[in-house]
Amino acid sequence: MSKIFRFLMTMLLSLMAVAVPAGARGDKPFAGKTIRILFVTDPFAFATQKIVDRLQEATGATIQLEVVPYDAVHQKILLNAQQKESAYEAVSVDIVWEGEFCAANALLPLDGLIAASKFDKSDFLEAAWTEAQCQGKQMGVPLQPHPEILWFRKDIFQAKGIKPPETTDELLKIAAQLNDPKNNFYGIAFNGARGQPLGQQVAHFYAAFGQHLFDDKWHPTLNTPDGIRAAKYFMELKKYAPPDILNMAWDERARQFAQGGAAMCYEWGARSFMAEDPSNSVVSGKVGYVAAPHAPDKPAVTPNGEWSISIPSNVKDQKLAWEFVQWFTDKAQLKELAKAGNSGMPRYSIIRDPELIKMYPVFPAVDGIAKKGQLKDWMRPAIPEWPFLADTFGTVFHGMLSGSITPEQATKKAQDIMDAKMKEDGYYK
Amino acid sequence: MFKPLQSSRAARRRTALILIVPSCLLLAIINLYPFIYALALSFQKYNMTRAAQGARFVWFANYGAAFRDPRFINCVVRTLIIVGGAVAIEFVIGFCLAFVLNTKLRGMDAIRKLSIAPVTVMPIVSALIWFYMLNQRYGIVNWFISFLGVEPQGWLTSTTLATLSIIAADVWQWTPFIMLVILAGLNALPEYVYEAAQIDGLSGWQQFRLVTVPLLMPVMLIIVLLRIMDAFKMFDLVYTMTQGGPAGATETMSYYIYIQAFNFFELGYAAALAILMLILITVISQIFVRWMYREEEATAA
Repeated sequence: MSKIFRFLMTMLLSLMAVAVPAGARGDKPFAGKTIRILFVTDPFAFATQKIVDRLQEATGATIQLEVVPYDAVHQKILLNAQQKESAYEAVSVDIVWEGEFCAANALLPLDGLIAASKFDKSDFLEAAWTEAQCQGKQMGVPLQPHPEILWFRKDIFQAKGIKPPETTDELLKIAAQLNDPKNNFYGIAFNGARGQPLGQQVAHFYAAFGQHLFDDKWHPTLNTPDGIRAAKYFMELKKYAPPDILNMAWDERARQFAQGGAAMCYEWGARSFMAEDPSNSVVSGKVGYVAAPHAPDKPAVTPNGEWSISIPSNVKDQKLAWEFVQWFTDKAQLKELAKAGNSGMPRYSIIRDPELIKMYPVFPAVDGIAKKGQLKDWMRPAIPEWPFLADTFGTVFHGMLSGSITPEQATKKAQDIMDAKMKEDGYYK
Repeated sequence: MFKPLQSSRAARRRTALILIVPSCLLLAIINLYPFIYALALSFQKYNMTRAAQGARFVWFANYGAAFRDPRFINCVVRTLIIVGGAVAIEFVIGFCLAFVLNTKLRGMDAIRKLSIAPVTVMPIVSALIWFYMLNQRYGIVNWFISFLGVEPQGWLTSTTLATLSIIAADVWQWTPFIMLVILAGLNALPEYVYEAAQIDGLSGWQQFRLVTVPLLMPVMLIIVLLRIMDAFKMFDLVYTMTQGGPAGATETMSYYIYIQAFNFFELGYAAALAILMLILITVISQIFVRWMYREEEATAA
C-alpha cells in the first residue's frame, strides 16, 4: 500500500512540476520556442540588440538575433532560400530587394496571414505599407521606413542667418560658405564609398534632378542631360566634402556630422539618433532636419528607404513566425524600440507621440514630408537588377570622384553597362 | 616454391590498395567534386535570384563574356600588378632579413621569434589594422608624415597609393614567412661545403654567389611559387581596405568573382571566372616550375 501511495505521490509531484511552468506560460506568448532573426546593421537592429533580454523575458522565447552588414543580409536571405528549411523565422528586407526576392521565391507572401489574423494596418504610414509589396503581394510589415533627408547645423545656420537649402544650387552655395577645412569642418557629407553606398546616393541625386533610371520600356536612361547634371553635382559637392569622402558610407557620414565635422549631411532619418544621442554626439540638440534639396527646375521628391520584417518562404512554422512578426511590429514593441534608439518608425501613433518627439526632432519633419505626399520610392526601382545597377553606379562614379573619368564619361559608361545587362536579361533585344 | 611468394605479392598489393583507396576517395570528394561541379556550372547561365528560369546550358558563352568584360580584364591586370609587386618586395626583404637574422648575435633568437608575429595575425585583422592606420584623417601614417611637413595623403583613395597600400599590407604580413623558410634553408646548408670553398680560396662574396645562392635556389623558388599562388587568391585585404576601389585600381580577380557570385548571384559566370583564374594560376606556376627544374639542372651540372 505504501508503495502504491509513494508511486502516486511521485506521479502527482511530477505532474505539478510540469504543470506549474505551463500555468506561468500563460502571459508569455512564445514560451519554450526559439525564434531566429536575421537583421541588418541598422538602427532597428541596434535597438533590438539593446532590449533583446527584455524581449526574451516578455515572450518567454529564446531569441537568436544575428546582425550582419548590408551585403551580407542580402546574401544570407538568398542562400537561405536555397535550403530545404529556413534557418530564420524572420528577416529584415530592404524594399529595393523586393523584386529580386520575389523572383527568387525567397519570401512568404503575407496576405493570407494578414487577412486571417485581421491585422490592422491603418496606423502604418501608407507609403511605408505599400512599399513592402511586390506585384501586389504584401511581402513584409514595415519596420523602419525613413526618408533620406538633409541634416543641418541649426545653431550655425541661425547664428549666420542662413535658411536651410531647398534647392541643390542653394546647398552648394551654403556648403561653400561654411566649408572650413583648416579647422576640420566641411560643408557637406554624403555617401562616397565604392559599391552600394555611393550607388544608392547616385540614384537619389538622379531623382533630385528629376531623372528616372529607366524609361517605360526598361531602357536605362542614365546618359541624359539631367543625368549628367546629377553627376556634375557630385563633383561640385566633393569640393566641400571631407577628404576621406571616397571611403564614406552611411555610418561614417553620420559620425562625421555628429562629431561636429560637417555643416550638412545627406542621411537617413532613422539614423538621427546618432546625432541626437549626447553620449556619442557633440551636436545633440543643435540639428535641424529638412527634405533633401531638389534641382531648381525640378519638383521636390524625397527618397524613402525602408526595412521591412519578412518571413522566409521555407520557414518551418509559419504560424509562429507570423505571430512573432505581429507582436514585434505592435505599437507597444515599436515604442520600446524607439526608446532604445530607433528613430525610423512605421506607425503614425509613434511618430506623433509627444514623448518620442522630444527624443527625436526628426519625427515631425518626416510627418511633414509624408503629409505633402513627397515620399517616393521610384528612384530605386525594385527590380531584380537593382543590386547590379547600384553596384555599377557605385563603381563607375567612384572612378569619376577619384578623378579617373569625367561626369560625361561616367554616365555613358554606366548607361552602356546597364544597357547590356537589360538586354542580356531579356527586357528587350 | 614460387606460389607462396606470388600470393604474398598479391596480398601486399591488396593491402596497399585497401590502404590507399580511402584517402583517394576522400581526395576525390573534397577536391575533384567541387572542381567538376564548378566546371559544369561554368557552362550554364544560372542566376540564383531567378528561381523560375533555373539553369540553362550555354556552352562557352560565360567564357566568351569574360573576355569581353572590361572589368574582368582590368581585374586580371590589377591582380598581376599586385601579385608581382607584393611577391617581389616580400622576396627581396625576406631574403635580406634571413641573412641578418642568421648571424649569431645575442638576442637574435628572440628577434627571430618576434619577427614571425605578422604571419600569425588573421588576414582580416591585419586588413582592419592597415585600414585604420591609413585613414586619411585619423590614421597614424598621415600623422607621422605630418611631422615631415608632408600633406595628408589619400592612401586608400588615390589609384596609385591604394595599390601600394594593399601591397604594403601584404608585404607586412608575408615577408616574415619568406624569411623563415629561407632561414631554415640557410641553417640546413652543410658546413663542409663552406670549408671546401675556403680551402679553394673563395672570398666571402664568391662564397655567397657561388655556394649559398645556388644551394638555396630550390628553397627560394618553392617559397616564391607558394607565395604567387597564394597572393593570386588575395581577398581579405581588398574587401576590407578598398572594396576594389578607387576606379577598380585594387579590384583583384577573387574580389570580382565574389561580387559576381554573392552580390549579383550570377553563379555560372562566377564559376567561369574562377576556372579562368585557376587556368591562369596553373599556367604561371607551370612556367615557374619548368624554369625551376632547368635552374636546378643547371646548378647540378
